[in-house]
Amino acid sequence: MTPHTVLQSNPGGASLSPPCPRLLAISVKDLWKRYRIEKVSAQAPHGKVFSFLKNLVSSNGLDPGAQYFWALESVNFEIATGERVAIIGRNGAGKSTLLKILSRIVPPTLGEARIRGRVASLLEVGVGFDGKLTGRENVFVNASLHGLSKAETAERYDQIVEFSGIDRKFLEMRIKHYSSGMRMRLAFSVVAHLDSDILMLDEVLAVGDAAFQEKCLESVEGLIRRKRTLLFVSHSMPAVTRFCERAIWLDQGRVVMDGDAKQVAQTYTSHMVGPNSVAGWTREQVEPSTASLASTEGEEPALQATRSTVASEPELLPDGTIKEPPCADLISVRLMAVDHSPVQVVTADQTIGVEFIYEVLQPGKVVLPAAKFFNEEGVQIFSAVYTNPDYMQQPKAVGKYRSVLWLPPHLLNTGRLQVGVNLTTPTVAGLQRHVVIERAFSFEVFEVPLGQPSARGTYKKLLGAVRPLLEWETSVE
Amino acid sequence: MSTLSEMGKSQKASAVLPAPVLTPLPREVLIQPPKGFARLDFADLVRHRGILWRRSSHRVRVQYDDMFLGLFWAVARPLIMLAVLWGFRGLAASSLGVSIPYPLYVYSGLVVWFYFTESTQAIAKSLQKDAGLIQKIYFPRLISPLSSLLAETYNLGLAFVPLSILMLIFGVPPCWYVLLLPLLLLQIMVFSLGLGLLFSSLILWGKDWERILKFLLYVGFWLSPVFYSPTMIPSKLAILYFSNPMGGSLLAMRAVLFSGFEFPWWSWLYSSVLSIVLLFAGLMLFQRTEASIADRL
Repeated sequence: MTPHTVLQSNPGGASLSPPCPRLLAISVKDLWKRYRIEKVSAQAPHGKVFSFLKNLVSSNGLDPGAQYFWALESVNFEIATGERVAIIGRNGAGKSTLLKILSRIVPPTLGEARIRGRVASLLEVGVGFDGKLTGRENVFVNASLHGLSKAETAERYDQIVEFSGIDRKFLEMRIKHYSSGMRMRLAFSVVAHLDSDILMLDEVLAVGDAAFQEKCLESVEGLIRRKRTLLFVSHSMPAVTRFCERAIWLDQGRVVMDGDAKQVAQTYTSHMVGPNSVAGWTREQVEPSTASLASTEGEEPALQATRSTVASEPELLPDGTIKEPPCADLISVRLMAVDHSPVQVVTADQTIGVEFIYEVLQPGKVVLPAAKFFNEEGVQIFSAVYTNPDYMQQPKAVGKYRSVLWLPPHLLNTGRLQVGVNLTTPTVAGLQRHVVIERAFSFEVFEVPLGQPSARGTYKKLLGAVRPLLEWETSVE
Repeated sequence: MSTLSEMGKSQKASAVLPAPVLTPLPREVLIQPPKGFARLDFADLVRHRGILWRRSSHRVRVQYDDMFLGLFWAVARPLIMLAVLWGFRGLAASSLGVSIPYPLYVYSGLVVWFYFTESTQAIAKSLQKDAGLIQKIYFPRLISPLSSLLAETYNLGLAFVPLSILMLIFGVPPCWYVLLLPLLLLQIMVFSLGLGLLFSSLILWGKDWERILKFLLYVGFWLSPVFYSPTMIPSKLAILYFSNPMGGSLLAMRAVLFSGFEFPWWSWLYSSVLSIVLLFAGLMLFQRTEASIADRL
């Protein structure tokens, strides 16, 4: 996919635009931002004068060294009040520039944006903190910078302190003696207590220790519950799918994709992973005949006899034994959604399938696929072997087959998973392994979007290899 | 605020954060490319006045941080200068031709002159000083120079304490003209702000302007009646002397503080007009660069 074609991921946009027209919180119309790339010359003073004079004489009024680049190119979108939107994209894609323009820190070069409501924009945690002031004074200074009056700050001062979790005895201490974590806590607490209609966050949640990060995320959830508009720049796709219903993918200053957060995050992640954007594994294509076969993969089990002549010739190995001709070969494995579309990123409440395409090369063999799942720590979480009884006893004819292993929703915990696959034949002597790939591919499981049923419940995170959504029953005894 | 606390109570169980204050029609902000010499948004400045007070008191607060003699340093410089110039009092008093003691004349001049130079330089550098803020938070950028000016004005207030003491010691009472003091201070503030704003914008284009300002202020010191009186000016330098707008301000200040001085109406009027013109020029240039300050810092 070329990054400059805008994909409207949801046809009709029905799921995004509410039935009644909501008030717009942010509308961005044809926004452009140009930056000048300045030639940095570390010249001695006399050299600078010299080149300045040379410019005066030679140039036609234009600075010959000046170069420009467009950080944003015709960006358009509208955000309704209460909508939670993530802005994703690579470094230098224009995300922060966009946020800076919407926070009125830098002006656009062309176009316009309208913002309705009080904005709290947090481009960095702890801006305006002065080490020479005490924690208490800094809370007041910082709150005033974000537009809170002294009285308003005094009113919620206790809440701010409580939220930050900083011991009260430290608050009369100058914050230059604080640890950076303590500063961050205090700074975020202030922002969490602002009365804003629109909250803009720029990757700020990526700082601090894990516990505080989680607390920040929780407070963002609190804001979301109060139906605040959220604009959230992030590289963390789990956070994006957790907080946002919609995502805008920027690349080289343009909107590449705008739509459902899950879809955009999935497309983005698979795009970022590289050219083989499918979570899967494909056999090296050695022969033209198999190459043509591989291209027809997917739709239906194509029962075609191929390679039989090649494969049935016994091969003499150097040690004198005769090599058994291969009985089966794996063509490809991939991860897919219910609609058979390839996926690389899934949410925990999604049904996913592992599709095997394989060839049986010798007639009369029972060839069965299996898969193993490993978590980030390399622990094998579980294995899935073929269990359909009718198929297990049935020797397969030579040909190409397709098997799909379906994983129910709410089985996997969040995180990265690796999948190993194999093709085997059960024999009296044990398993005959035809193909074993220890780590065929990996994929990512994201948090369930906010508001959807999740095995997480009200917990921040659940430990454990799997995360089933189980039934509970409570009655009064 | 009563609605806030009520709502806070009802939501206490579920929400960690305070309940929202519901505003019926939120203000709409239009973000557009800067357009030439647009009007200054004074309404926006008034809306953000809280930040101005906070920034000003913050600047005062951190100025003498980590110093045991904080208050002393606020008035030290003119006092030390006074001590040095004391040695030349015999030389000066003869030709000064003023009715008040030389120390009073010099000290009052030094206080005003230092106020002018310090605030002009603070204003000129205020954007650089607040760079970290300006690049991360929106507020009317004029707050930066204004808060610098206010912080320096606070220092001036401190410097007036030794002045009053000196006046008591030498037995020089002020006359009723002293009621004009706020007006005179305002004129110096306007002049300082105009010049400072002009240079704060220029410094964004090139650091050379910082040096140029320093040089101008240094020359200005010798061209101003701080430690000498206008009667001592050689006629060759008269034009240069009278073109200096601080001359009128300094003489007017003495006329207001001490009885027996003639108020220099014409030269003060010249200073005032020039100050206002300079303020407009400074505001225009500042306005022109305001939008792109964060890009230039």
